[in-house]
Amino acid sequence: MIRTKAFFNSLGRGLLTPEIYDDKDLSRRFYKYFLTGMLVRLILLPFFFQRDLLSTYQRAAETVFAGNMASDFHQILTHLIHSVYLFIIKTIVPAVGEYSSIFLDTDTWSSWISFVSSYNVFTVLALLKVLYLMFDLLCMFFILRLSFDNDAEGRLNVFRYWMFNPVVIFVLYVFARHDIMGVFATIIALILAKKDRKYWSIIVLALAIALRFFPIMLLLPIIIYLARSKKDYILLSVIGVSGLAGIEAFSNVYYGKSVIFSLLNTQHFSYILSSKLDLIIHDRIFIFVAAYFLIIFSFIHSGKKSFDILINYGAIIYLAYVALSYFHPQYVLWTVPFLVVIFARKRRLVPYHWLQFGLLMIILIYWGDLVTKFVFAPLDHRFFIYITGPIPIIERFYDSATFVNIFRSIFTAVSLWMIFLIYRDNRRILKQGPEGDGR
Amino acid sequence: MRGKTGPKILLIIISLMLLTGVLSGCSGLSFIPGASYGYYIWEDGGRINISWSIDRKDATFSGSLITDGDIVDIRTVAWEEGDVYTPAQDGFSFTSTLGVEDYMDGLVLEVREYGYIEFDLKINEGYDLSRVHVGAFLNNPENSPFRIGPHYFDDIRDVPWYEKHPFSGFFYKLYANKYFTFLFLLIIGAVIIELLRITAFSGKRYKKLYTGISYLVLLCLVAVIYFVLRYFIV
Repeated sequence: MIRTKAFFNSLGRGLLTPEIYDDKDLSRRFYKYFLTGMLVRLILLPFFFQRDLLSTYQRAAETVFAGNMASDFHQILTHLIHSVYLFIIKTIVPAVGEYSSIFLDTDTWSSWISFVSSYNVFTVLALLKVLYLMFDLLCMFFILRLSFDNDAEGRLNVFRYWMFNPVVIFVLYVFARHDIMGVFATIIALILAKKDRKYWSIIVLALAIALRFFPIMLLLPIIIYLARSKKDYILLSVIGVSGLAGIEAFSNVYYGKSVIFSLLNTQHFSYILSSKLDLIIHDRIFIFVAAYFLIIFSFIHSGKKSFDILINYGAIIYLAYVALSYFHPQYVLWTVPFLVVIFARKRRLVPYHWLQFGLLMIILIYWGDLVTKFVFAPLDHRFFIYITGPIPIIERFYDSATFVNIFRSIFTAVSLWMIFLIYRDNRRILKQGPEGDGR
Repeated sequence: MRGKTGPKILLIIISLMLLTGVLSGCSGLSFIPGASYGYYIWEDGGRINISWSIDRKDATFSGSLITDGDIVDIRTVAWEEGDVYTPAQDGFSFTSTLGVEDYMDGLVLEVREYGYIEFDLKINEGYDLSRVHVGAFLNNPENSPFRIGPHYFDDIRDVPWYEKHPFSGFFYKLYANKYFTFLFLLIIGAVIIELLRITAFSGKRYKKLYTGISYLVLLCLVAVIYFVLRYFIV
């Protein structure tokens, strides 16, 4: 009995951190936030998804049911995780195995209709999304350790902002996208960087890059933060690109084609280059690339290698990305691990984040039925297929592209303003140290 | 505390009312001319309204109506030059075009002493029966031509809300997934009770008793939901 109690005590300290677990009030608040956040997540779990979730599992099904290992060579690690997970759930729950014909149907429309109209859709959809719930759980416990080492209250606030973050809840439980895997690996890389485990940090970041490519934007700031000598710069850069190089080598050997060049030619990479300033003839400035290097130079010359400054610059980079480039709604998730730490220091940024989320809900209208009314189709597919979508309603009164772009512009303004507030916070941190002003 | 909780509860109630209103509005028969797509047929004050609309694309809506009753009055709605109405011995036929600037057309008719009214409705010379809403949204005919009787619209009005879309589809799937549904409800209920235990029941003298009663209530609630789904809804 005493041993069991001791086991649970050490487990609790391990999960919650000793400072929160040993404080009765903090641990009770932690539990309250955890339960409320889980309640929201669980309620959304079986009912909503965006078509891409089915595509992701359809590629995994090709590996699991048809033995095709090359069904998604762009994101090999992510694909492998989905494949292993699908293999496990189809083994445990026979209902998932019954969906093999739907998963293997290459017609995107008919497979989607078959999926949303199937009578077991809630069970299967919940199971498919549980994978993201598991990564979310990992993130919520690791994000506690990202900052505020001597401030349990601050850590608890970071946890609270993650648990109730609208972007996290929307991307994982309504949209059901897999960015959380890369986000988790990035959080681990950041924690390792904070603990000055420089090589491990870069290795895990390389893994994160292999998972979702977006953490590549963090590679330079983390190398700058960790490097103490020229040798460090060279070694860390080599390790950093090794994730991508490893994937490239694997794809060349296994699939006989280059994943990097294939990615560079996909429209996803062109998103980064989407905002541009045409000068004359062929001369063109890619605005985000210019902004990114301005941010990097600012980080180099910030004068002090502080982890809180690194977190701030992480937020600035991803906010600049969504402010200046074309993006998909789920990419906003990459700002969240940084923002939740900043929110615990500067609470007045929180309303701007909610405003960002509200604007995002309008911006996503432009992707059409797939990301709006079809997200609700598992509830009653006929109703949500035939009900009038938002685009025709807007088009009835005003040009829908202009309408959405007005809100897109406000979204950019809000994101740039948040960057300014965070940049101003940098100066305060450099002067006074990392603890927050609570405003 | 009361000052903070009051507005939240009010907000939740208003949101729920709006949601119910929106959903029940959708399950009734409302449409947005120039945005909604299809035929919408309903009865209003003894007159039968037939309207058609499309999301600002060029389309031709054509069809015919015959009845064994007397058509005592018929009026065209938003009819333009080129839209054709042709009377026949026991009914009429029509052809009408919609486009970028022409959002909707329609007909309003009064039919007396009828045993049936038969519709044959086409969009772009073809049948798309999922786009023909008769009396309620997604109350589609199975074949064309299709007939309605004298009490058809009254019967549709009497259909309870849970048998209309989207609730009918949702409840059907909830029952079809019953093992999952009840496990899901038990987990959600357990989380809510746990939240109550550490907030509302915390510090109460009979905290354990309240928690036990809550679990009993949860079990009863799940059983009630099962029986309602089993015997009333599905």
